[in-house]
Amino acid sequence: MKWKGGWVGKILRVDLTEKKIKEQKLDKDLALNWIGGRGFAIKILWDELLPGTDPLSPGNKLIVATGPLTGVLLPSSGKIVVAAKSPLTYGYGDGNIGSRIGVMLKMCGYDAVVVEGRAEKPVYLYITSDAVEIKDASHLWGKGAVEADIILRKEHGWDAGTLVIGPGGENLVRYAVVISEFGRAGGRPGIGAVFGSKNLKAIVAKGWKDIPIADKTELLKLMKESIEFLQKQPGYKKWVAQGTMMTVEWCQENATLPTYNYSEGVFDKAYDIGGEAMEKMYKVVRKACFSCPMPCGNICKGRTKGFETVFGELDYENVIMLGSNVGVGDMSWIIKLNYLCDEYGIDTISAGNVIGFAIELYQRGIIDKTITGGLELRWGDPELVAKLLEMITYRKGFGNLLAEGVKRMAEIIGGEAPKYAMHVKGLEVSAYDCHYAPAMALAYGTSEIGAHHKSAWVISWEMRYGREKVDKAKPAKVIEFQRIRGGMFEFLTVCRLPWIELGYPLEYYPKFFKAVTGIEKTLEDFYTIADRIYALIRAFWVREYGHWKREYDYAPRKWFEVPPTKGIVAGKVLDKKVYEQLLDWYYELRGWDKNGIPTEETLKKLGLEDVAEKLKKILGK
Amino acid sequence: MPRIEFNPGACSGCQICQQVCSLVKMGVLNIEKARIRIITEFGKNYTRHVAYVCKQCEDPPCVAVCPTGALEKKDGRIIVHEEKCILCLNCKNACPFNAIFIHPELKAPLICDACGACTTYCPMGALKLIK
Repeated sequence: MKWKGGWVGKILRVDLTEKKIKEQKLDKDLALNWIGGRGFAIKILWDELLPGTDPLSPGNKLIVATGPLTGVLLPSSGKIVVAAKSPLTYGYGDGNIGSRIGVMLKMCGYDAVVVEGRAEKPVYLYITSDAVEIKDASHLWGKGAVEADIILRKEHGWDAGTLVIGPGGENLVRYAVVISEFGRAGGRPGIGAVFGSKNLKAIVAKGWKDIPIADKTELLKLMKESIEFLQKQPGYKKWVAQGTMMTVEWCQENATLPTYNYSEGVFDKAYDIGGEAMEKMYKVVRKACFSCPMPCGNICKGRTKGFETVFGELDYENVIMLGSNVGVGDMSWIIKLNYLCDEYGIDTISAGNVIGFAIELYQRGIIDKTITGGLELRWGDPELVAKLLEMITYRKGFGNLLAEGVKRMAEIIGGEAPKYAMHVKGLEVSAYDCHYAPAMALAYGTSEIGAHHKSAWVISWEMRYGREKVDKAKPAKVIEFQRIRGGMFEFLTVCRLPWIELGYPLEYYPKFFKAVTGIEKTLEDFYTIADRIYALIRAFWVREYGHWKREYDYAPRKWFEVPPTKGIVAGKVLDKKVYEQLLDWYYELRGWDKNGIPTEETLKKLGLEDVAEKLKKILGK
Repeated sequence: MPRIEFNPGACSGCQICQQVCSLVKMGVLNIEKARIRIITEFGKNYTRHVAYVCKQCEDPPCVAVCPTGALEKKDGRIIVHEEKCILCLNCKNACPFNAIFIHPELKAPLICDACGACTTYCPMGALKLIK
């Protein structure tokens, strides 16, 4: 098929064991039914991964995928999806990153890259418009992700697109991420470790070909309108000044700010580490992703003595997980801790969650110095956090246990530990406390990859709608957001923030889709594709686990069993009966059975008859 | 003299200008065919956005070194006569601002002619057309 625009028409296949590189034509059915990004990733993993593959073995497939709207002139198109079977959850894992590698890959002529096998020695992949090389990375191995990125850019040019891992990925920390352009990270479920397991330090792309566009005049017109729309919104100025950091104050006011490993929803130093403080005292440069007219990147600089040369790129999640969740209220230190995570290439969210978990276990006497290797674990000790980050990255001593993530830690430690382990399906919860936010708890429970906020970030809606309410509107909103955010934005592979933060109309996406690809699709079409993608993701989990249980969709025990003591949520816990009711409704609305498995009828409606057959066999029906 | 003025403090590095430039001037979407380049450079303790775009020098060294008369200063702008260009790259090497770009598929260098299209899209107000 000749593509009018959007897709560039090829998938790059790299086998690092065999040192083989080949190009594959983009299949028309893959493009039209799965669109791109997350859609490509799950379809390729489902079709090609040998069931039960060890995620850190050469057999795992690493997928780097753009979508038809990636790298195109529309608001915030500079995204890329990285995916694989997760070494943290053993299910489907992915993440998206704001990185120029999206546009660069397309200019090289590739919609996606699939890497399998394992190189004998450290390598990196260098992709241009006329050649692909597997290059020696021995000079980069062991180096920090930021440091290695700088070396690669000095060699290949500052305009190159990069994905790089740090020592965390090399050492197979189960929540190692992929880093790009100083402070951009993605792939929370250990995609960085999958890079590391393949001896793949980085992917660099530098292209110069045109990205085909069906209707260029329309594209220019739509973008003009879009920029004007966004700039007119009342929230625009504050968004550009603070980005996601404004969420700190919002969560504090709503008592949903993870504090002391989700023991509390408020933090006494919240305003020291909030959006206002950041804007006035720490932010030095604004930074946009490619094609973004509403930049939210906050390059910040430490202020206190000894921190004058400490820089980091801050957003809400990393500040809270390395701040209040471990009791740290000193922004200069948080900037440093955040920078360390980026350089080490480990996920700020999971790292802050893991460390908070360890401190809580120590404080409760569930672990002691015989396990920590003599370390005393206290809240609010940034030097301890820095030390633990290093121990995790290099799997030193107690850090080797922490590098496994909270689910495995809890299983190894045993006893009461699982009660305090904040995860779903093995992925650590991100930065929203849900003791008194049942819809958001359901969103975490039913997220495609484990406890991540990317898909159904319904907490802001829930606060307006009524956090105490229990009705079908809640699961319906979770599903709606999963369709839009986890579906449409992830397969078009563009940023969701113009819509969710500034009310940019969703109707623009079919319009851009038409202008770029020449193909008519409605939002309803997009949502059907989104449901198809989620159904296949769920089927993938079932296949890889060989079974499935309803309890895998449960929110963490702590929210049901251990109430906070401060603020408006004091004494509140999630009600188990309420959660079960919400989950029943959720399954019913999705057309999934009582155990959270898509029914045969649902799969057939989505065009997944073959998947229904396979699931029947796996489940012994 | 018409030219594009850049304010580094306002720029976010989004490269919308490059996309618009390539669409308006070349009729294709290709940031490598733009006549302006925004590069975001970073180190461990700095991040900065740098623009490379023709400053429309009063006495342009690029025109002076062109051996074939392919470059001309006309009405305050640098004009490229593509048919005369032999791609010797003298102009690129002579430019003190690294504001002349070569693309492997093109037969002549890319130099900004201060049309101002990019400035009308710049969301940060970092680019201004000086008339």
